[in-house]
Amino acid sequence: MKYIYNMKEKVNHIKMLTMASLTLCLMASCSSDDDEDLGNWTDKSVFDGSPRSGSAYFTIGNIGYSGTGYDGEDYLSSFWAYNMDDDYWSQKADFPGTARNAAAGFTISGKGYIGSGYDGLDELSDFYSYDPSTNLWTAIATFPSTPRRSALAFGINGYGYFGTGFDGDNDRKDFWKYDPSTDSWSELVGFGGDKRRAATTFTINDIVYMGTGVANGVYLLDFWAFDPATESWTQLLDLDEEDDYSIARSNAVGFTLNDYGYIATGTSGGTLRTIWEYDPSSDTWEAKTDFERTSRQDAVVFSNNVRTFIGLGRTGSLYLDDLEEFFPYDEYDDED
Amino acid sequence: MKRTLIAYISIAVVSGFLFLGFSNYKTGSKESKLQLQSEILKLENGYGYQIKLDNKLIIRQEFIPILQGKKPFTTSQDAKRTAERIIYKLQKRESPILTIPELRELKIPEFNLN
Repeated sequence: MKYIYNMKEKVNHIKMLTMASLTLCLMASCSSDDDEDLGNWTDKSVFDGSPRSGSAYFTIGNIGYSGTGYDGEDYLSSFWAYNMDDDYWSQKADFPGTARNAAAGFTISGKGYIGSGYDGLDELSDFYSYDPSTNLWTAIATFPSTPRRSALAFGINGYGYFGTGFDGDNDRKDFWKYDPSTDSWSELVGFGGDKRRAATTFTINDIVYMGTGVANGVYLLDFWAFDPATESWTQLLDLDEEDDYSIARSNAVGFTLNDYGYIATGTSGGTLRTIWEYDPSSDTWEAKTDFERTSRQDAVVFSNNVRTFIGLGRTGSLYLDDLEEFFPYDEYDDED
Repeated sequence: MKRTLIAYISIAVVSGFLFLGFSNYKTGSKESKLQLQSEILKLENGYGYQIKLDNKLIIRQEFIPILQGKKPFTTSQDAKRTAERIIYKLQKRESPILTIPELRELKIPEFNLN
């Protein structure tokens, strides 16, 4: 009798266990269905998607422009403008060249330029200019030397300068000058620094400063000033001159604000959030408050010497809410 | 026997709460839909749109995206369909980037010339 009772109990156990597991299964299937429908809600960001890296960017007046890049799946050719005063974005005319990342962007006399880069197969040498007054892209003279990616570019005094980078086999140290009035390139001699890729530049009062980058896995420490009036390079103090400097890195962003230079984010083994401020009068560096958001290399920076916005380019296009304005002299406030 | 029953009832109650928790979570998710609105802009020679999130302007489009030059949308319906597509993508937490196939699908005439 006791035995039968136990049997009944066992049957009950099995029944209830079956029901319990059925309920759990139902719940599980419900929730997984909803995951597919609703997407991932854990990220508070308005814009989500796979990371976009290596977008080219330039600033004209109070508008920052950024386009191309790689989202982890596709090379991109979309092109966006960010209005720094009114804090909104517009999708502009697509970049007309092959979709690519690691392209170089610069500004000459109110026009933007994007060229070189990598399309997933090859390094590239084609360049295009963008006229913000007409929203039109125009092909310009193709870069005449080795195609490359992760090169350095800047525009000053009516000319574009483009150099260093990675050609698929080797890092480069050559510099070239683009003259928009004749639509032609010419080689510039006299850069005494090392070959490198993914270096950074900023301009203070008509002097261009250049440094960082990586060659054969070594983060470079030499730092240079380029005077466009004489097109000559002068070597400055190394980026490890003081013991507490940790400026060396690659894939950083460089910008100028109130006549100080800045090198921010990037990578040196791991991605960085640190920002260093350069004082050209003393050739010294000072660490500023770390960038608030997740560290990342290949960020985008819009800067016009008055305001600066750093974006992490975490998205399929741009995380439009992912830009942060940088105030170098304000006390750090993690609430804002 | 009684103890076992109580144990199972407790399991059932806990499961019930868990289930309710999930349901609440679902409602919560629906409620946390982004507060996105589109506004159609009447321009001098056509139409544009702007997208607002919590009443804050995030995208303003006076010209058709992707297209070279400064061409506004021909009709307010074209602008509206495009703006709604961006909101749809943002609600799905996708990038607001528009592509040529999407603008064709939206029957924007400038992308359906062939």
